[in-house]
Amino acid sequence: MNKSALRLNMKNAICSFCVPAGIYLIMEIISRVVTGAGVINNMADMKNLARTFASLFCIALALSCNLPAGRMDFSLGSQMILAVIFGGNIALSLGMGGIGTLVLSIIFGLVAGFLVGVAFVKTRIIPMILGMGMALIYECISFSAFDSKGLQTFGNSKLSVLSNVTFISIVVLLVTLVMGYLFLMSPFGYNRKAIQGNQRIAMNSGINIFSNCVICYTLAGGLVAIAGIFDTVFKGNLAPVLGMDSRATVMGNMFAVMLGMTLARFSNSVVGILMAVLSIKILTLGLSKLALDNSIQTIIIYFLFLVLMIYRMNESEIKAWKKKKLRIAEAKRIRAEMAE
Amino acid sequence: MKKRVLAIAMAFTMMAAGLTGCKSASEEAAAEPTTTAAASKTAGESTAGQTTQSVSYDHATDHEKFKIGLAFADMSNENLERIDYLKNYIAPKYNVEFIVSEALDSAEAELNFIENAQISGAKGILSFAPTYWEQAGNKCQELGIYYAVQRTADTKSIDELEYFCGGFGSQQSSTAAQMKIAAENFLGDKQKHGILIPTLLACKNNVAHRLNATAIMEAVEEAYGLKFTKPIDELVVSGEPTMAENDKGIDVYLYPGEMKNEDVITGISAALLTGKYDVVMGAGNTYTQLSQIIDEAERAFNKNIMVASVGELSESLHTAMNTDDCTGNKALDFAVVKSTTVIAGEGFAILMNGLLGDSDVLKPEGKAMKFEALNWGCDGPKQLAEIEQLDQDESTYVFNTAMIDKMIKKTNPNLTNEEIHSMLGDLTLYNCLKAMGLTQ
Amino acid sequence: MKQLTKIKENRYFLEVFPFAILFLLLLVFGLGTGGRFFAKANLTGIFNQALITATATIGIAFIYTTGNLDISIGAVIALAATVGGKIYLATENVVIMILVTLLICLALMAWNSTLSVSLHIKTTTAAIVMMQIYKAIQESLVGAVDLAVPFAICSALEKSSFRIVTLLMYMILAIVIYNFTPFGRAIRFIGGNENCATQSGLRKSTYIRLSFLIAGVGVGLSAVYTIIRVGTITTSTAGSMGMDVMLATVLGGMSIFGGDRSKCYAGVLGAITVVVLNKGLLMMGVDNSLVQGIRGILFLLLVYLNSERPDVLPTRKQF
Repeated sequence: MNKSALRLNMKNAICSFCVPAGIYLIMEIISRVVTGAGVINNMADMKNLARTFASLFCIALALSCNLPAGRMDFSLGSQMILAVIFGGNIALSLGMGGIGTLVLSIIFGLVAGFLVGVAFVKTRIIPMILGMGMALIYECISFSAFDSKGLQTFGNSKLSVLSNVTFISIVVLLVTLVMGYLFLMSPFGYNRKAIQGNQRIAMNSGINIFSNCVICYTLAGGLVAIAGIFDTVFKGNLAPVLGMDSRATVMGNMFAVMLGMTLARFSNSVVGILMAVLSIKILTLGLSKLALDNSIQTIIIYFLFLVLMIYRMNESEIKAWKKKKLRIAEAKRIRAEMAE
Repeated sequence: MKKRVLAIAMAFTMMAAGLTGCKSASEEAAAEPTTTAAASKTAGESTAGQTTQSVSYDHATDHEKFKIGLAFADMSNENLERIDYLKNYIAPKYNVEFIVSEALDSAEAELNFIENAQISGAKGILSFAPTYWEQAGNKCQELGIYYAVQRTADTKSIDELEYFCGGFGSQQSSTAAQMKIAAENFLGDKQKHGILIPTLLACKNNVAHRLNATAIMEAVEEAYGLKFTKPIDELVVSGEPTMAENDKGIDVYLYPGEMKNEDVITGISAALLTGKYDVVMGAGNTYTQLSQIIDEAERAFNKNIMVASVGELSESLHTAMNTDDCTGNKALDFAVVKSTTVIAGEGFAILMNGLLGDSDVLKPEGKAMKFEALNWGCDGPKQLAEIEQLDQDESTYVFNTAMIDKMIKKTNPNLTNEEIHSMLGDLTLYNCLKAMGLTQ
Repeated sequence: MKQLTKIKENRYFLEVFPFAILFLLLLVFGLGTGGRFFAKANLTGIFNQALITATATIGIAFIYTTGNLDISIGAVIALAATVGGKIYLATENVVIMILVTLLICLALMAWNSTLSVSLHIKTTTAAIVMMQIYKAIQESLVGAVDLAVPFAICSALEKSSFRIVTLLMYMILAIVIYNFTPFGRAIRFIGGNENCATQSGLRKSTYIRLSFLIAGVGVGLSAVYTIIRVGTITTSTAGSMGMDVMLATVLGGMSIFGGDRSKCYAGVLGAITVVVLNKGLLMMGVDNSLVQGIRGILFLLLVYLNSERPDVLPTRKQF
């Protein structure tokens, strides 16, 4: 690696890390000034941060399987509910432990995602509309199954491993590595990138855009199942929902993907999402320490993001305007010197 | 193309199967009344000791088959049990047919359902969706169909409507009273406790949550003889997490927000993990979502956290009340519960009086009233086991046909408004168990 | 089979199919309910229930046509209705309430278009961010007390000709602008091929901005109708409107990705189809636990039959 490339990589790594670190510093200062205590005061805060981080990270990665290719899948939330209810209940009835429950949920998630992918490729219905239809069907199935009781995890000591922070961290690490490999280093990942660029050119160059799409949907299903099972264990139960309520999983977490894709310019999509999720979680934790109303927190977070997006999308214009301003100042200075 | 045709054919088959299945169910229900009239009589006879007098009124022959719309805000386990009770136990015995709504999450959805039910022939709406009572009540009045809603808080603006039969449900003050008992139990040792109160939607005008949070705060005030620096009414409706400062320096932390909101759970978890709090008293149903984080906090500090919550008779309540935490105490120490059949049954009886033209018994002064049943406090697995014997099947339904017959004027001509209230007021846990022969 | 394919590929198929589906559903439910489905009260009910979504879809069709996707309209309606409701409670003046509600919608839609046109944020991204902000503001405004406009006022407005007159005026105006003016042709051109349209000298940003403003009027009327219909404004008001509009548009035979074959009345047909389906399933006595699944299957089936099948996957980058 030559020197300039190394310098660029170093710069990008620092920039990537600077966003969550910067947010942490700012929130720490504000929190200390306002409440007298920091954002992360003890292991408990770390634990909560790690747990909610794991769920959001998996959901954001799941969304990023399809979103960059222009496929917004509204059925992801219903896939998560279906996978956790079926996987969890079957695993518990078979006497499986936490890992078995996780694995079985992932399998159901993969199957649910695969079915949506196949339906999309076969019917070619617009992804958002297909997602809505599939969500209605999946919600109905999850609701009708297991006497509409959902999944109850509280009181089941076999599942305690799923709330263990070390275990969660290992799973997050594995997910990062697997998805990193799949997205960035595997033939599937290269094809996915080509399809994101232009699917017609990709298809004409021999890439099977259909199988790649089905794999994306399948992976997304598996990822939301992981998020779902951690979330369920954290909250003690998962109740089935109806009336498209599951769409909140997509709508509420799209922000992380958008920020992740913005931060991906410094590294890659997986690290970008990782940093984005970390930043969001630190920001949320910091704001919660300030004891603000939930609505106010939402307004602050999204307003900050809006400002970031405006800057990001108009960066070149802002730079050009700054240069122009400097040029004018320089010209004025020279004219003043000449006049003297 | 073959695949496409196959897909279409499959979809149609699924749809047809769904429709056919449902039609046959309604046909079965339609064929039921003649046979079930006898069953109704038998059930009535078996509990003859409880009825005030024998009457010759027969629902199967003396009135047309009423269609009633059942409006639900969500499809919780409690509501599913109500549907089962109403459709399978009540409908055949009282010559009625129920049209069940989907989860009605907005005012528009509820109004649409009411209109659709009326077009489908509904003569009344039994609503378990209390949020949009004003619009729903007025809509029913406009459409000329009877309306009863599970709401025991204010309904002043529709009380004088002809078709509004009244509000029903559990007595808010009895929930608050039970919460007060729990607070007294927890704080009775006069030791210094840290109290965390999830106020849920008290800040969003949820009357039940507000009353319960107020009752808990009052109990804290009484237990320690303390005075909060701000009025309790103001504290419990705060939209932000608030430390209720007081002259005795007791830590009382109010945490608002819905339990389905992850940030709320995380926030409460962070508060618990400071080690300051050893009493958690929810203003509503909080134990399912908080059990896990409370367990963690107990493990972290190896101390018992006492928990009280409003509950729903279900598997999760059973688990919470029967699971030992790391200190050997139960995960849930106190729950306020209500009988599933009492709420559904009293609502049905009230609506039936309206449908059968006996609104006078509901509104002696021309204004609709609230018909309130009692909540039950449950302080441990033993008491829960007793409660769980109730409402299991037809033989243990608290609000069985005998009870309903007593609350319908056509089958109990001497029925008065006061009698309805006193019957509901008598439904203490002890009385219900005694009536079923389940206690000594 | 070849015949069927040929029929589907006929240029008029997509024009006729949504009407045929609606007719078929009416026929099935009419027969299934012994004619009760055609009772006057039921037809009025269909109008009332489809009105809010239908009005919004007419406006949103202008945005969809240009190839943009705004899913924040549910939050826009909720916020405008909240402010409108508050204004009514403060002034007790219906006219001011209606005007304020309309103006708020126009302002919010103008802001959304500014974000995408002037500040270069993709429409969907802007919509997702603004949706959360609008919702949070609305939650703060609703606060701890239910926001209820008196039923008598809502009922009087519902029974008056206000809704039907304003809807007809807006619909006729929209159809004229959409089908018989250079503006309508221009937005279809932009939706069909943005690059080509730009290179032909069309000022894309101006047309998109105007599309948002026309949509703003439709969304504003929807917000007013929402107040009239429900009276009580809560945090769940119009919560699913963004999705309802998309679904109605597609069921009406128009792609939400826009293009030259778009039509602004598509959503009206779709909204009526959804209401007919919901009412029909309830009146036929379909079990409540199954109705959602059946609806999902039927929606997918209808959309499948109703849309063109591209040779590549139908995608549109949102970010």
